[in-house]
Amino acid sequence: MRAENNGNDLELLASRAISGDQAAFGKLVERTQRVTYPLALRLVGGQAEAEDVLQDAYIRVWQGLSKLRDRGAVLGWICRIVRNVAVDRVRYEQRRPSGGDALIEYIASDDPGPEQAIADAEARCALLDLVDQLKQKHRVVLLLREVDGMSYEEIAAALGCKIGTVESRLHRARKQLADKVKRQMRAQAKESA
Amino acid sequence: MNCRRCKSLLSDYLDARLDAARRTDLEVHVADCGACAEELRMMQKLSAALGAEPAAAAPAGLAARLTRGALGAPTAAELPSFLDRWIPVAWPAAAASAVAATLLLLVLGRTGGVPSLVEEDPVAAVASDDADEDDALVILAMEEE
Repeated sequence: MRAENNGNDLELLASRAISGDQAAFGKLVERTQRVTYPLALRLVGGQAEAEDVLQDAYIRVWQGLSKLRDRGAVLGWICRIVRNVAVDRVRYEQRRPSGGDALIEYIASDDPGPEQAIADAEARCALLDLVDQLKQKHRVVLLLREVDGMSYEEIAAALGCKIGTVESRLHRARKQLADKVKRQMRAQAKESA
Repeated sequence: MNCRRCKSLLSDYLDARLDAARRTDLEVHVADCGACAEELRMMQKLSAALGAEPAAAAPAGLAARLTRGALGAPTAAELPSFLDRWIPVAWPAAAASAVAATLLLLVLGRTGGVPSLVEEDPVAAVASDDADEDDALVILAMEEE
């Protein structure tokens, strides 16, 4: 996913929405949800929860737009509201089943054959299970980057942090995920021995 | 380049964020270092696996629903305040309590009060009597009004 949010366009929509233009507000929602939906989803975990978070957030956006000082920073402001609403929600429970063996086969495999576990739901579940074990700040950056395809700049805007922070969190997330996979592989090898 | 430096750059390498010189250094190191090559290979596989996951695409119609919900939500000014919500309920209850307390004082004042089960300190008893007298005067004054 690539968010195509031109700051000037958003600023214009924000200005029109502040003056009561509801259609402009609708456009603002439509344009910003390309970033806020993945953000909410990665923060709370489930689609229904993400939609609830966004509904609360956009109510606050509409009611608080007149207080927005820097209209050019409207996306960052909306993302901050989304984050604030999301952190009030209960972290989502891990429902995914474990599929450690399939993941290990996938990681260990060099054959790009049809059997390769990239399409194997079990392996995917196992991988996502390990991703879930990462700290939230690392997990969110990893998912926004790897799964949602957001650029470093977009992630920094969504999370309200510097690009350097995105870099370091992403580095840690990848390193820790790789370490977890290696630990799982070693444990599996021990069990088999 | 040593292994530590190489591993610290793998994430940036995956995202093609290294300049040409550092990219070349890293690739030269990885070509000679099995451990770093293995680390890179694993990161690439994990990245590919996560990249195969469906991206978070907002459900159809979500923006319209969110817009309707936001525009239709009552503003803070439209919402009744805490006092507005509670006074209609609390005021009659408070008034009833006040009437009941006044009646109780009247009854106790005329019957001499509830007998105490505890032996009274004479000094306190005098003070208490004085207080009762004062209360009686207040109540009488109210009756006269």
